[in-house]
Amino acid sequence: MPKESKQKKAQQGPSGVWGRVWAVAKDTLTFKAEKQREGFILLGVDDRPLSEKKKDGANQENTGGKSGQDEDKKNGNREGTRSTKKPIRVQRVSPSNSRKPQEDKKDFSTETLLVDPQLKINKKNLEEIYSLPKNKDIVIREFTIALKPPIKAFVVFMEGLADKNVINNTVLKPLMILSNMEEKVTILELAEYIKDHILPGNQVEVLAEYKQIVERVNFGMTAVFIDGSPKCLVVETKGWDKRPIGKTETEQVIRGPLEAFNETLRSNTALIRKLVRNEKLITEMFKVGERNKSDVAIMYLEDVASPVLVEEVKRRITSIKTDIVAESGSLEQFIEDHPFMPSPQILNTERPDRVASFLVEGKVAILVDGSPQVLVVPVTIFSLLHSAEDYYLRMPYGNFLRFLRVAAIFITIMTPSIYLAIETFHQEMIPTDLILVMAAARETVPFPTIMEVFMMEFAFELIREAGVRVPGVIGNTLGIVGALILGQAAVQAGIVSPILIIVVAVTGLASFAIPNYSMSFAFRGVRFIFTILAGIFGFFGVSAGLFILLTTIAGMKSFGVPLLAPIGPRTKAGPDLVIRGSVWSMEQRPDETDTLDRQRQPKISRGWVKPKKRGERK
Amino acid sequence: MKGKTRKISFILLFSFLFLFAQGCWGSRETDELAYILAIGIDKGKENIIQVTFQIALPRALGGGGGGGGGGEGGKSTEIVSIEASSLFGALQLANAFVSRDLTFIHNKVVVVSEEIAREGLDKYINPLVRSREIRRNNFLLVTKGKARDFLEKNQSILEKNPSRQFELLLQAKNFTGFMPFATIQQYHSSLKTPGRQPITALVGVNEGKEGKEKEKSFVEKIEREVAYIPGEIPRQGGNKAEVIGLAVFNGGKLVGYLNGAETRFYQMVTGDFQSAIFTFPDPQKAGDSFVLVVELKKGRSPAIKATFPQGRPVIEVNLILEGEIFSIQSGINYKRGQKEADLQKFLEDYISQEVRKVIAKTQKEFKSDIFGFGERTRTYFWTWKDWENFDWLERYPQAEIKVNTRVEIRRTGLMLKTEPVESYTGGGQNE
Repeated sequence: MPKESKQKKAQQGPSGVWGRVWAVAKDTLTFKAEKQREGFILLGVDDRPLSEKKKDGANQENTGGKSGQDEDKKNGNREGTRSTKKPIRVQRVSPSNSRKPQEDKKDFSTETLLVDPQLKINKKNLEEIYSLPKNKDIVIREFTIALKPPIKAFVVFMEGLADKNVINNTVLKPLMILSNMEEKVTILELAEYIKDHILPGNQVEVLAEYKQIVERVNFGMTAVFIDGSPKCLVVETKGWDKRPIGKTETEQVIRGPLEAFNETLRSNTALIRKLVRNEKLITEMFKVGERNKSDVAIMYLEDVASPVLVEEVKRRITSIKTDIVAESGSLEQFIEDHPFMPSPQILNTERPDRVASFLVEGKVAILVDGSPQVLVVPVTIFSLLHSAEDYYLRMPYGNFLRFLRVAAIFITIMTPSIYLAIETFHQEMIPTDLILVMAAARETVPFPTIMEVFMMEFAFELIREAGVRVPGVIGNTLGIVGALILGQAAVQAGIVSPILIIVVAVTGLASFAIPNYSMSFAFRGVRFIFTILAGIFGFFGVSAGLFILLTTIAGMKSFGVPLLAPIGPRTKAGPDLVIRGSVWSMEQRPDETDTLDRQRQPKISRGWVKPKKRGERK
Repeated sequence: MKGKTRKISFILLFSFLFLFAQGCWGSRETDELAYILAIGIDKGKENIIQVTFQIALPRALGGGGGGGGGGEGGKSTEIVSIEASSLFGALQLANAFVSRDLTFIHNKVVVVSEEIAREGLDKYINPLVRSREIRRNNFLLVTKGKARDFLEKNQSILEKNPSRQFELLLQAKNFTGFMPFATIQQYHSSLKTPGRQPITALVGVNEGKEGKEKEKSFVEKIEREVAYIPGEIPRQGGNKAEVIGLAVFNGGKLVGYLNGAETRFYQMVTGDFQSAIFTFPDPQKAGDSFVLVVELKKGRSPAIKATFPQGRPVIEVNLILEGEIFSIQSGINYKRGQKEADLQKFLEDYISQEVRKVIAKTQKEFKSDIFGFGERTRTYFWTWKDWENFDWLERYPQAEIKVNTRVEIRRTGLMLKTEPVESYTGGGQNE
């Protein structure tokens, strides 16, 4: 095989026919042999004219390896447009018998295995697949179907995931006791016959492929194997212990529903569907992950959401190749646009009502099984600052909260840096009385202000982090102890100035007023950068930092929608950015979502109001 | 990937280097600075000028965070004087014995002695205007006597912080009109424009004096009421430093003073006048030692027009004031009808006459257009050349200036019925 010989030559030097090929290839590419991966790592490529490259490519192709094809494609397609020094990945098809040693032992794979008419073989297959009897979670119950003549059968289910009552009542009972009737069917149609006439389960499938069967059994369904039948019945018996629908934990409101999502995908979809009772609300399911096929659902209103958006969401989700997606937080990181930027680009919420309000705006909700947080895309920075309560409260109150929160953002980002800048650079900017108070407070402090600020901010983050991690029983005391130690004692010891304690406390409070958890994190992180900038450049640094922050946010996108829309690229804006208009004045869906149906409500949504004619006075 | 890591490591390295460069960027801790709150400029003995700095002591002024009331009753400021050739020379020299970096960024007032002002203040103003640290909204004060004396004697009873004290003291012009709110900026711009002459507020030390018994008529006494310059107010107790009246300059040189009363009328013309309480002899019962107290407020900004019959400037000043009666000792009902009209007429005449007197004083005695009439006249010239050739400051003493005043009595106080005093012996005097 060419691969082996090439590998050999990479180590020992070529000879013969391969020697000639190797000589050409060596001039173009620099390889390093890597034993562990059974292939080559390309270290470099030299730039030569196109014709020579093609020749090389042809030579490579002669070797028959996939590497040659790759190389040819790259040379032919890309070399014409730009000369690149990008390394080319050389893929080698490694011999399948040496790659995965575990598979060697098996003489079959679940990928293509079909149900065997012989019950014994099926049982053996299952024992092989589930490593029985080592694996104690899998249960195989053998019994006899009470047909005439009796037929041997067994059921397979996963302990804990399947509901035993359901199995007893809807699988075993009808098959063993209630089915005393004449068999008039051929053995090939037996499975269909049982499905149609005997099994009363609400979801029963007839399957032949082991891959599909195993997937379902792993998820709490029960498979019934029947002697003589080349098909298997899979009955829906899912029923595991789950957390009931609880109260909201992170997005609490005073006015509004208190229901929150839980870890079960199906109850989450039901919670949403309960609020959006529309036949056009589509739930599509995907399996993400290779080792663990996590269920991911997307929900959208078919006649509102932009098909392009839905397509893009599907494209991103289905392209993911990973072993497990345990939480919507990991999925978020797989599908977001800018993983290195501070601001989140996907909204996560635990409130069904919030998801419902986004769905009718034409956005797409992404639900991950096992995660009580639902993702919504696309979002703008403005919706990240909104809270559900804004809409439930009357307009003036809602706006008051909005302003408070915008102020909180600026306080979070800038208070420590402004304090530091004033303290070290711009003493002339504040009233004389205040600067004298600040100077007096700092008299005993032995550290430079920047050090002092960092110490306290760090201590604050420490309290916050410890407060999250600490076991619940002592959690309550921790905040008090931390505040006491850090605040009172530090001031009394003269290590920090009392004004700084106020600054840190206000900053901390403000950071918790930001409704979105990721957003709050983003701004708290940015705050440290601003502090460094202020310590080095004063207000110049702070304003430069603000500028950079704004430009980065302006350059970000969330599923194709600019994060600052409709202000970043100026488009038609509804009355719901920072200031919220009246509920009846929000006539259009957001422009940036590009919905199929723009109109949310008619011009006059309050039917009882007399329409005003043009020019007519009240 | 390689380019990206290189870029990131470059940025990290770059920002790391900046951490060490921070000393070069002018960062100074608040407790490394000594804040000068007031500057005094006197004539020096050994060198050209003697500069006095009033330095804030943060521990006393700021209340001292953890140290526990250290500066109670102690001094809140330290006053040092250095003889040097220039202001900044003195600043450098002062650091020979002041441990912290002296800075002007929180300076509030510049006090100049009368002596220096008479010689010419313009050259001392230059560093104040040019320096980055000193703000042009600092107050410029001229003191009778020595600046150092003034700063030393200025021990405010209510305020701990002298910079705040000066601010509040000069803001009193809004309800007394005694002093101008004159800043370095105003001084400097009037110094450089050919249509206006500079002024400063006038301060001084009052050691407390008994009113001397002098033979004066009732009307003279009333007119004397606020016509003081610093050091003359008959009073006891309180802060020895006082602010009343203004210093008139011709170019950079001090040429004279306007007292408190005159300053009020000066401000009526410039439009700075806000409100003040005036005492008049009762126009209809002056002989009986009755006074009339009226608060006058600015109704509108004064309208000033200029005409040039036969090339001689004629300026017409129209003042509009509003009045509120505070006290009618005589009990005459000035509230309505003919009496009200009479009172308004009296006030109008009185104010016009007094304003004319002040203007005449600046024309004859000081020959200095501190009112800025030139700036109003300037708009009547086609080109700047014409205006410069006209040479306003030379012509100002000959200009004819007319003053018209309109006074409206807006409020008459809380009394519903104004009646004269009824008594057994005198009998009712029904007006």
